[in-house]
Amino acid sequence: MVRQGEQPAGALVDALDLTQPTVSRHLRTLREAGLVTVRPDAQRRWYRLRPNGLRELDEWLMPYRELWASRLDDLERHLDEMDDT
Amino acid sequence: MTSATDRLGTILRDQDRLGLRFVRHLRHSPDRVWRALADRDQLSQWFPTDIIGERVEGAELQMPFWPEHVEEYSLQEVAVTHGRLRVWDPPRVLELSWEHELLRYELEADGDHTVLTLTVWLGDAAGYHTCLDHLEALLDGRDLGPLHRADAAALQAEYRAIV
Repeated sequence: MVRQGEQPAGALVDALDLTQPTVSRHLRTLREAGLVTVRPDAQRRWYRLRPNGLRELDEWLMPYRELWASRLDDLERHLDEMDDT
Repeated sequence: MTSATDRLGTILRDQDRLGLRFVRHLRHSPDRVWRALADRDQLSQWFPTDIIGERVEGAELQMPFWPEHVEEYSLQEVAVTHGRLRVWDPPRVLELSWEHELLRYELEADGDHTVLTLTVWLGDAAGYHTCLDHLEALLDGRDLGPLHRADAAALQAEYRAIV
C-alpha cells in the first residue's frame, strides 16, 4: 500500500499541527485499533503503520461494537437486578 | 437469546456516516426500560456518563463521565462531554446527540417485554479517515498540510467520548 517510514511522535506533532497530548491520544487509539505499532527507544517512541496497514473499516469498528454491546449487557443486567429487589 | 453476532450489532452506512444498530429483547416493560435509559439515578448502572439537562426536546445536556469511569478509562480528569436532546417521546423514542455521535433508542412493546433498538451514528467517519490519511502521508514522506483546527477539535472530543 505505502512505504512504511518510521516517525517519532514529535515529528507527528509538528506536522499535524496538533498539541502533543492530542497526538498521543490519537496514536493510542490507532495503536489499540492495531493500525500502528510503536517501538520504544531510550528517549522517544517510534510509530509506523503496520504492514498491510489499514484494515477494513468493519474490523476497525469491532472494539467499538464491543464497547456498546457491553453497555447494553450492563443495561440488561441492571434491569434484571432491579426486578429481583 | 442474543447470538454472538447479534450482540455486536450491525454496521450501517449512510453516505459519509457510519452507524451501529443493536437490537435487544428485554424482559421488562417499555416504561421500565425508558426509565433506565433516561433517569440519572439509573444511568450510573450502565451508561458511562451522567446526563444532566431538562428532559425536553432541544435541551442542552452536560454529560460528565461518572467518577468510576474516570478511573477505569484512565482519564486525566473528569471529562465533561456535551449533547442535546433531540427526541423525547416516552416510552417510545429517545434520541440525543452526544458530542459528534447520535444515539437513538426505539422501544417497541412486545407483551410485557420490550424490543429495544439502539442506533449509534458515529460522528464524522470522514474525520477518522482524514487523520489516518494524514498519518499515512506523513509516514510516506508526503505533505498534505496540517489538519484543519476544526477537525482536530472534533476528533479530540470524539476520541474523548469514545474512551
